[in-house]
Amino acid sequence: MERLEVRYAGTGGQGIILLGVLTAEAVTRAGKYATQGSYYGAQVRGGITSADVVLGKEWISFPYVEKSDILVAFTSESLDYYVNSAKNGSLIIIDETTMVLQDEDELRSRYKFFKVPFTRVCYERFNSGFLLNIVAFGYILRHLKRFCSKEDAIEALKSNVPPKYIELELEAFNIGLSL
Amino acid sequence: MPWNRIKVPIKSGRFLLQGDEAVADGAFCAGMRFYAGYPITPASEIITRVQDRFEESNEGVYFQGEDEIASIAACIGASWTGTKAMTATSGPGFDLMVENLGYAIFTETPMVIVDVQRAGPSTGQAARPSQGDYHQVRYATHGDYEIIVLSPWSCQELFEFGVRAFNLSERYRVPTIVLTDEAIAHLREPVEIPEEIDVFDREHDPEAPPFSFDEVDASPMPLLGDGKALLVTGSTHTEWGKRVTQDPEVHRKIVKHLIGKISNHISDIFETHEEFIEDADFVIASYGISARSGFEAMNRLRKKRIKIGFFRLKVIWPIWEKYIIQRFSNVKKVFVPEMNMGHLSSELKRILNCEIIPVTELGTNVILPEEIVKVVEENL
Repeated sequence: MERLEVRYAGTGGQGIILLGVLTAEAVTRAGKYATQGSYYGAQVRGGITSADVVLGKEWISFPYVEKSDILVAFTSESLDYYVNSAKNGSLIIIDETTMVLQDEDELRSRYKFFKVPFTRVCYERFNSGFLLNIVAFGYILRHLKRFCSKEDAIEALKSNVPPKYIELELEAFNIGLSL
Repeated sequence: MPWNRIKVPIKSGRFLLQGDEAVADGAFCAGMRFYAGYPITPASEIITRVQDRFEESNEGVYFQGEDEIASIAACIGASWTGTKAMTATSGPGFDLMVENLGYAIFTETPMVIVDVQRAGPSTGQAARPSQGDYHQVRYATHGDYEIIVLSPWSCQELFEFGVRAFNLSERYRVPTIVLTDEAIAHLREPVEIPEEIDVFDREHDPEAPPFSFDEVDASPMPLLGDGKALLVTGSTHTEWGKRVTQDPEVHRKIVKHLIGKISNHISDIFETHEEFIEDADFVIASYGISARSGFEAMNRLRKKRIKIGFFRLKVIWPIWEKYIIQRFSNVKKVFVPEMNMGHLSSELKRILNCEIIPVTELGTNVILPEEIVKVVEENL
């Protein structure tokens, strides 16, 4: 059975869980199956936050990530916490603007490792990092083509953000697509 | 007739729903029009979903009690007016509800309580799952009684059990609990909302005595507002609700009624999900989130040609001992994954003669399928 395990990891306040919800919603809208679970602390800001999304063509028995196929990390702390539960040779994507790595060579030898300037492009366009998660949503779609289309993703976005922000959100989404 | 097929009052179709939202929607579809509760992680999303449903339909009354004690008390009052009432909480809030849960059981008041388990005891870890309330929901309040507790393993079942909990509660005049856990209640997955559902509405008889000594069936229920004086008390009472606090025979009769109206219908109430039990030497038995792990573990073990089956309790209380004994008659070992020190394990040890091997997790992490596979392979 086809199964893709995606984990988004960062810190409270970055919109990590919304990013997970958007992914699951897009895949559900495409008629496939998605489960989305979250891990967070009691605080509203800070601490490690993660969103698990498991994708499949049909019903998924175990709904959480066991060993990730794709790990997208937005803080060094969350990368350290989750890197050992990534499959060998799996995809790891990090935010190159904000994260300083001590062991980049080792990561490159064990995983398909990519650095993406999520935060930098957000600041360049919006002078703020608050749409970081939406840029990442646009970016990650290239890895989810078997499960959902760009149109499904846009529908998911529209149903999960307030209408007055949708133009801004779509712009961030398109920046992510083009990265 | 008490059973009716009704059109659901919300949009049907396939939606990505969080577990908490799904159980609120199920309850709303079943006719829940009174909700009282006090917010608590990981059950708070139920309150907000109920508020949304009441507001958009312009039906129903929502009340945030000053605490969980007031909330369950308000539900009992609402139920006696004929309104389907629900509250939702987590372990710390359930602790506070226990006194009035006993009152609801003894006054045979239909209502639904959703308990979204989190790690305890006490405040514990608010946003992390556990299955430590397995026995609490059954034995929390004092005295002899039976109670019905449903255990969903998916967002789909949270919707369905939101409906079924009301049907059972209305039919057997007993508070019915949906016992879920943070890992399912905060999970999101696709849920199919059907166009129609079957709903049981309590038998209402303004002329009937409010209580009964019948050892087999629940009795019809008169309501506040029917125009007759209605005595409802948590003390031992006659069929007409008159307090009788020193008569052993009345107490004997009424407790037999509380137990008999449920135990005589156990084949209607009890429900399981079974895979490959017929030819299994080994079985993974579980409930709730741990059953999802157990199901996946079974799939992996069967690929390795191990004759293992799967047994999931969809109803954890009452537990149908005779049925379990019969289904496990050829089983050599039972593996029981659960997020506690072994609650279902202890029940199965009491009921069965074969070897019971707990696979426990206290660290608030959902048990991974591979952990179960490992324990099974070490114990074949």
